[in-house]
Parts: sequence; structure tokens; C-alpha cells
Amino acid sequence: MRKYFEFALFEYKYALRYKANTVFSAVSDVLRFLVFFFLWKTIFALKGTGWGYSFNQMATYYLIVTFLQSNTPVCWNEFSLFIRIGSMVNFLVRPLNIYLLYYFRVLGSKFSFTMMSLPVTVTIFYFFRRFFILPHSIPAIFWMIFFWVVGGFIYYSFTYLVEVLGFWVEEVSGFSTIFFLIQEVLTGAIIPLDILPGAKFLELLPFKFVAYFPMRIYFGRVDTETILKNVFVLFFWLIVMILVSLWALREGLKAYNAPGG
Amino acid sequence: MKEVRVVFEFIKIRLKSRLIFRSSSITGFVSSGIYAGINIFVILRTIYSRVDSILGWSKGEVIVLQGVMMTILYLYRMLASEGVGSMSYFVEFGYLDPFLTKPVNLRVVIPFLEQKIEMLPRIFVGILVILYGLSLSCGALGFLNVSAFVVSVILSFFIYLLFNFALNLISFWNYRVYMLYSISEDLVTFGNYPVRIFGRIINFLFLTILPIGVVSNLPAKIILGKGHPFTIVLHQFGVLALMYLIVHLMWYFGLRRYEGTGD
Repeated sequence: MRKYFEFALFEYKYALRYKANTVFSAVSDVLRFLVFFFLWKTIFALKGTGWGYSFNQMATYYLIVTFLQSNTPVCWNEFSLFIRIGSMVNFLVRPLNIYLLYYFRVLGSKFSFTMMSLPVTVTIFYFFRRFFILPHSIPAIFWMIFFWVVGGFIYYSFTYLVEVLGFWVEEVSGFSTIFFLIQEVLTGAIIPLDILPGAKFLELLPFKFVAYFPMRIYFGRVDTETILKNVFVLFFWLIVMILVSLWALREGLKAYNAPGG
Repeated sequence: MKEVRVVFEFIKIRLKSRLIFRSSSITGFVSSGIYAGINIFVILRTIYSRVDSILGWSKGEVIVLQGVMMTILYLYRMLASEGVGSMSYFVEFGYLDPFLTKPVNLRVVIPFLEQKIEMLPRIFVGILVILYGLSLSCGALGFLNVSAFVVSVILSFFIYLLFNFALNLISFWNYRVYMLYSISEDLVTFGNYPVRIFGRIINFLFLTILPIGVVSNLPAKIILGKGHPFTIVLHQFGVLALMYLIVHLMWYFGLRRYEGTGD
């Protein structure tokens, strides 16, 4: 595992070079939050009840979900680009698992982003502190982070699978855009899943673990029994995604002829 | 006029070379359809299941607004986003030098250096969304509304282009600012809703210096009969002049900092 941590450390240091870019990225997240904040503020002024959430809960939901979303690992589109131009060979000839390699590289870069965007994050939390609701309990914070971290790996695996398509198709950016649009609904990043029509079905999918489900735990809306039940669901999806990811890579390599340099 | 001729030459060449990206057109069409579907059938459906209107905007009217925003965004992406986005690249690697030796106004030519014809189907999605929204809202369409709407959309396109160009001109001061693109994209999300919901200060900003409200809300207001077309178009001309002035000043002072390093 040490070699993967070395890669993560390298990406962490590399990403530190682009401070202005990171700050702009964090500002971009804040803008997303502001849209939903003002939208729901207006809607709650028109109809304050019947949503299953108070306005402060809704504001807290978007504030934290924005933070969780921007820090969830996503496989870079560099992956499919490297397949297309042949540079993937540089990784394939080394004793490395590229599924894990990219995960650790992304983690290193994300950690750097989290650190550098901290001033923006703290500022926005400070400005909206009067709307902010504290977590239900200390164990709730633990469970929330646990589901987000493991769910984040599952989420990464989905984005990785989109990139692996690069072994078979020339251009995967279109698929990647489609995936990112759909996941915003499935994770509950746009609207909490329990408000949406068809919520029961969406709750069966693993995407809820990166935003919606951790937030339900945060608000104390999930009992211990449901949490434990979902731990099993989480690990079921984790195993499925690891197996599918490794299989896809194996099959992709069979089809790969390493064009280019 | 020679700038216009140069721009049209660029467009002609690019259209031919980009025709190979047919699969990209299809996935782009699908993704813009999904984007519209999520906005209409997830977000707006959820919200409007419990309220009749948001600050005087019915569901159909907000759909028109979103269609206008989509149309202008994709029009910009098709015609100018590549050229505008290449500014930081030009500055970083010193590729602006060959352009500077040419006797043309680069503020006009650079935005139109490359076109992405594969974006065309997405524009149709935007137009379909507008038509769908109009079918839900009961507004009557007159000749004046429609013609003023077309003028307003064209003005919105140029305002949005100049706004993005101004953002990209920051590269004269800091060229590692790729994420500015993301900020501009996020501002589009604001343009999907009536700007009045964002409070007085943001509302003012969006109708002036951060002109996302001018770009989406004003053309939608014209087609929906929510304001006097002449006043709205005049407002847009004012903002267009402001954007041009900002670009002009940034270009002037930015070029002084440009060192032409690189190749």
C-alpha cells in the first residue's frame, strides 16, 4: 500500500501549486449552494410546511452536501484520455493496480483541495451560521463520515467504470456528463430523496450513501437498526463494485491495443 | 468589416473539421435532454407540486426561462466558448504573439477562433424547452414579442460572450484559472430561476455587472409579455456596452503585463 500513498502524497503536493484555481473551485461550490439556499428561502416563505424539513434543516442539508460532494473522489477523465493516446501503458507496465492507483491519486488531490478551500468553507459556514443546525449526536457524526467515506469509494468506482469505457469507445466525455447529471439526482444533491417522487426506488441504490443518507444520520432521522441494515447494504455494493471494476479492467485490457506513444 | 470576414472564415473552416464529431453530438443531445428533464421533471415538478407560483412566475414561465438560458448557453458553447477559453492557454504559452502581429481587432477575432458544430442539437433542446414552457403558460405571442425576443436573445448571447471573455482575460494576471470556467457554469444555474428570488443585492448584480439575469430573465420576460420589450432591449444594450468597456479595459491593461513567454 505504501506505493499508493506515495502517489497520493505526490498528487497532494502537485495540486498545492494551483492555489488560485482551487479557490475558484471552492467559490464555484459556494455559488451552487447559494442557488438552492435562495430558492428554498423563497419557497419556504410561500409555503413553510409540508416538505418534511424546516428551512434551517434544508439550508444545513445543502451546506453540508455541497461540502461532501466537492470532496467525494471522482475518477479523472485523464484515465480515458490516457487510454486513447496510449499513455496508460506507462502505468500498466508497473506492478500497480490502476483502479487503486487512481483512487489514491484522486484522494491526494482532493485532500489538497480540502485544505486550500478551507478558508472559503469556513467563511461560508460562518456567514450562514444562524441557519446551521448541529449534528444530532457524536455517534451520528461518526456514522455519517463512515457512510460517506465507504460510499465515496463506491461512487469513485462508478466514475471509474465510466472512464474504463475508454477501452471500447473513443470519446467517453459524453457518457461522463450524462453520469454526472444523473448522479446529482440519485445522490440527493439536488433535492433530498424523500421529497422526490419515486424515493423508495432511489433509496435502494448506493448513490444515497454520499449525500442523502449521511445527512439523514446527521439530523438523527435514522435509528440504529436502519443504520446497521444499511451497513450490510453498503458492503454489498462495495463488494459488487470492486468485483465489477476489476472485471471491467481485465476485459478492457483484452480489447486494448495501446495506440499512440 | 475585415474582422467579420476573418471570423466567418474561421467559422467555415471549423464547421468542416468538426463534422467528424457526430457521436459527440448524439451524447450531447442526450445529456442536454437529461439536464432539461432533471430541471423540469425533478426540481420544478417537486417545487410546483406544493406552490402555484414563485414570485409571480408559474411553472411554465420558469420552464421558458430555463429554455432561454439553455439556448444562449449552447449557442455560446457552439460559437465562442473554445476561442474564449483558449485565452489562458495563449497567455501561459505565449501563443498570443502571432496574433498580435496581425492587423485585426483581437477582441473580436479570438472569441470566434473555434466552433463546435456538435453543440447544434443541444440548441434545439433549448428551443424545445422554450416551446414546452410556452405551451404550459397561457401567454399570447404577438409579432412584436417574437421579434423583440429574437433581438433580445442575440444581445444576451453577446453579453454572455463578453462576460466570459472578461473572466478569461484575468489570465493576464493569473493564467492558472481554469476553474473560472466552472464559476461561469455555476452562474448559469442562477439564470435558471427568476433573479428576484436571490435578494436585492444579488438581483442588482445579476442585472448589471454579473449579467446572468440580463441573459436569461430579460428575453424570457419579453416572450412571456412580462415587461415592455423596448425598455428591456434598451437595458440589454446598456449592459452590453458596460461589458464591452470592461473587456476593452482588461485587454488594454492586460496586454501591458503580457510577456510572450513560452515558444
